[in-house]
Amino acid sequence: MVPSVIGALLITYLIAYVIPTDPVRAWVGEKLLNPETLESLRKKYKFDAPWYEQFTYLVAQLLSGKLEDPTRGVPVVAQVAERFPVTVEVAIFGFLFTVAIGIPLGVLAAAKRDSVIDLAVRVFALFGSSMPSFVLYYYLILLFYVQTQATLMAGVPTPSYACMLKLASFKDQVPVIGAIAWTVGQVPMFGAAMCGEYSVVADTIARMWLPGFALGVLAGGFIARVVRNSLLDALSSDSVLFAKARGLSSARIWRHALKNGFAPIVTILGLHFAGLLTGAIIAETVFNIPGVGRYIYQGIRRLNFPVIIAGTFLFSIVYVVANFVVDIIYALVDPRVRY
Amino acid sequence: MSLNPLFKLSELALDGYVKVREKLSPGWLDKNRSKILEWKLTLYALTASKTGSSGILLVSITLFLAAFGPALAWEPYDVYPVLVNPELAGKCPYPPCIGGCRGMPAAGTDVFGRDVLSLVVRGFRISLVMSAVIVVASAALGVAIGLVSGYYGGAIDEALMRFTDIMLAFPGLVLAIAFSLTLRFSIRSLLLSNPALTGFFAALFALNPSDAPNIANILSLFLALILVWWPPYARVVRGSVLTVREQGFVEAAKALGLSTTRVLLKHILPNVMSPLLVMVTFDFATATLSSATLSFLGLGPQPPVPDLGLIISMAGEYFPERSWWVVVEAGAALLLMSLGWNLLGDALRDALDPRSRRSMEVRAKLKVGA
Amino acid sequence: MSGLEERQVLKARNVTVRFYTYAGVVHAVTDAYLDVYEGETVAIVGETGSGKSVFTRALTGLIEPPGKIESGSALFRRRNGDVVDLLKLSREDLRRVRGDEISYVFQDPSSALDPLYTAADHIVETILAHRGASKEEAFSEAIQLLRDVAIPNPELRAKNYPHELSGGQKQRVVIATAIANKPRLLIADEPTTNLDVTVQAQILDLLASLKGRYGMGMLLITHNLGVVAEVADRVYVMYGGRMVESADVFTIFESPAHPYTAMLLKSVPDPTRKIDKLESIPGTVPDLIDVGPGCLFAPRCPFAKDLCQRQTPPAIEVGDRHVVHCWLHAKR
Repeated sequence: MVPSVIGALLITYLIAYVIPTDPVRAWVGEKLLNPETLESLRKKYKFDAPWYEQFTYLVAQLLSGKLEDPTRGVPVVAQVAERFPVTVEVAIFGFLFTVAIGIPLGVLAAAKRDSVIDLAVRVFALFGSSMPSFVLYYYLILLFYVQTQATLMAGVPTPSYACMLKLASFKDQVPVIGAIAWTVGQVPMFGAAMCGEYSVVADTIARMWLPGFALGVLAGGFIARVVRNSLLDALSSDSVLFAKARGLSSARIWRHALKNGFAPIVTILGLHFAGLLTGAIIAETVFNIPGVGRYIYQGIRRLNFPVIIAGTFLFSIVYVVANFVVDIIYALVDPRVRY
Repeated sequence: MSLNPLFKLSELALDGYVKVREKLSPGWLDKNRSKILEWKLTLYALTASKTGSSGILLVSITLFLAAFGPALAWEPYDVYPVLVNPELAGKCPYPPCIGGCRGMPAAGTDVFGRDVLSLVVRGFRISLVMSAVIVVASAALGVAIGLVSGYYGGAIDEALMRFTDIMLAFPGLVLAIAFSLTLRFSIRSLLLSNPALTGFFAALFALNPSDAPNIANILSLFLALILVWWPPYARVVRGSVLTVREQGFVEAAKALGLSTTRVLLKHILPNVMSPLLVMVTFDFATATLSSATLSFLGLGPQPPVPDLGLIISMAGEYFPERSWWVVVEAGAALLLMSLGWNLLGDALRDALDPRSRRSMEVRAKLKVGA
Repeated sequence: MSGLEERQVLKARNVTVRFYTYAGVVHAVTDAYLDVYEGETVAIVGETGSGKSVFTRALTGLIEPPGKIESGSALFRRRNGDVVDLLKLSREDLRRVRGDEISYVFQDPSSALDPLYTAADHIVETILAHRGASKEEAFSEAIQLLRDVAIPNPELRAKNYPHELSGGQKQRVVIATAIANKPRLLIADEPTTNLDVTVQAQILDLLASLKGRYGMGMLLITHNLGVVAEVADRVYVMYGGRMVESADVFTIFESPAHPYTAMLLKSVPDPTRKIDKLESIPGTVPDLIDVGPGCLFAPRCPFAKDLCQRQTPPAIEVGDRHVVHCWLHAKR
């Protein structure tokens, strides 16, 4: 994992310092600043310094969270980190819908191979991978929000301030469990649930089910096909033949097939979750959700370079960590893989 | 023999090609008979399936519109009717209406008063050229890296694959966004100092050559995507090279004194062709969607360029009551394009699958030559 | 009339299996037959593609679409004395027979064992599928079985996953699951082909001793004539999905009646003699798609006559329980 983190830093460095022909211009954006200000910025961000100084400066700034937007004096990394829990919430909803749609369909398609259901799953997967995401989001908003008012479209329900204080004090009092609870509680829905503020939870569901459903529709077909193929491979394996030859019941044979079939799927689902986190930019923009994705989008629109840098760095780290976690989960699932 | 008109058409084209080659170099037919039979079999498999024929249909429509769209479009894209006709300003975007629209287009207009359908027809060209350039360039880059890496092995392989893995470990969209932003500054200055280059790209995209910043945006967009797109190709090709290397005929070729490039091109590459072709076809779909997504985010060309992603993005502000038709029409165009490539890719993968080919061979009863 | 002789365990007749594929109808097995008696080892010999695996799997209905058991009967005497036709049993009844009264051992233990289940898991679930024991009882039985198949440290090995075991150990685990319910018939499909030569001998010895102890009949499928000579009592030779010869093991080796059998025996080199040229059978294995009448071996047979191409030879008795399908032995 460490080489990947270094790689993330390197690529961020490339983007921030190396590729732009005039980095200071890029960082400052379209704003017009007088020459003295530009000069002091050049010194501060070390644009004229040799590359190793630049690199260490950038790394220090990123990792300590002090990286600033030069035109606004705002600590960018902190802003990004603040919005991250909301993005996690969206990703969780998307993941739940993907799994709820994709896995049952995949199992069904494997059980009834070459039937109408199998064909329908193929078509569904095809549409999921051919439909532009933002188009689908607009279509669904048209259907559910405009015509039927079935969902909210603004803001994110959050737990009360008192609740967050309670969680923070819990973290300070109880060692390990407190820290875990506090971390989980940062996601608004879970924090509210832990404090018993169930109206917030209900509001969250009303707010998030549509983007979650949209994400699920897009990816569900793909997951269904993967599940179907993996299960069919498992069902035609020699160990399933041996299980049949031993006279095991149909249910037990399916247990063997499912266990073997799902091992590779765990990896795919893990990576899919990481993809949901990093692909949030589009969904948050269209559904107007104040997460990291929308923040980055606004940064793009306003050509706010530091925001892009911080956002890219964060998403890269998320991806690297997610890959690592997936590897660990796979090692737990498959006894052949042990480090 | 299949009565399939699509197959008959493509078989005619192939036979024609064969005749021409034979005229140019007599004896070519006999030497390549089995290869031509294999091509015919692929064509048969493709046109026989429903996925294949619908894919071919949609892709043909895409290619046709991409080639002739700008000529067929009935409205210029860089003229804003609301500026020409100020009283339209409050009324636009104007909803679609069939018959009796008092001079307004039947398909509805965008916020500037332009006919949406005309814009969409123009948009095919931009989408196709962008996806074509991205896929072909990244495939070429990835294949080259993969060939070199797999063939030479050792330290070169290690270094290249490390680099590829790092690139693969990152979320592509995010990286593309960042690259695109940084590159556009550099490219803008490059284009502004090089009018000939600007003119060339303007013709390619059917855009106004004086619109250099926009062209720079487009270029930075697909340069960014190419940088992010090549790693999978490198991996796949390197894998194939390694398998082929084991098979000994590479050593034989080297022993016969063939130069490295010859070995790579004539012996290794043909073995990689099938999976590569399928990958490229699917990637056309993905590239169409990705470039549209980046344009939607504002990283692509700016108005008045009729990029489909951009059109939808602009319509987003007035969504839904005042611009749903824009999203529907432009979105449908993107959907159909990707669907076509995906269907073709699916059919191609099945057609090139060795198992189904053998069984089809008997049923098709194909012939080559006189 | 039960149709089975006194000590007979299995009597299969006219078994035909066809596969309906893209490329045509594959006649995998045609009019195959088999007799197995208590306590004996019967070997089925043939090249790859001769239909021996398909035939033995068809006996307990282990054929999946596009395969179809077209016809035939397989009389089997169950533990309780009942005689049933396996090919006419319901799916549920067949499931009960498999793993309990008829067990299988397959060629590749690495792929037969489920990598996510331990050795004991396999044995325990086979026991619980057919008998109402408790998990603890089944587990201790499993340990005992592992001991019976000569795996050292069975308590430890029971909790091992397949990838932690050697090839020979894996096959022993497979055998342990096969004998867990004391079956009447053990069908071993190339049980030693994937193993080291030294381990091969151990496994064969193990099978022989288990057969004696449990009083099972054993059906051994192999293309290795050396193994046949070692362990078999009677031999069936298959070619192109049909039976071509059957006799006791001595007769087969000393006076084979079918040209194919003879050529098979000749192609095994004698390590004590110096030879200049390896003998082989010219030609290739027949294509079993859309097969017509006539002897399938005719194209490769040095004695082939016109009649051989036109008509399939019937079963002809040439000695005591020595049957051959060849026009050469037909009485005019």
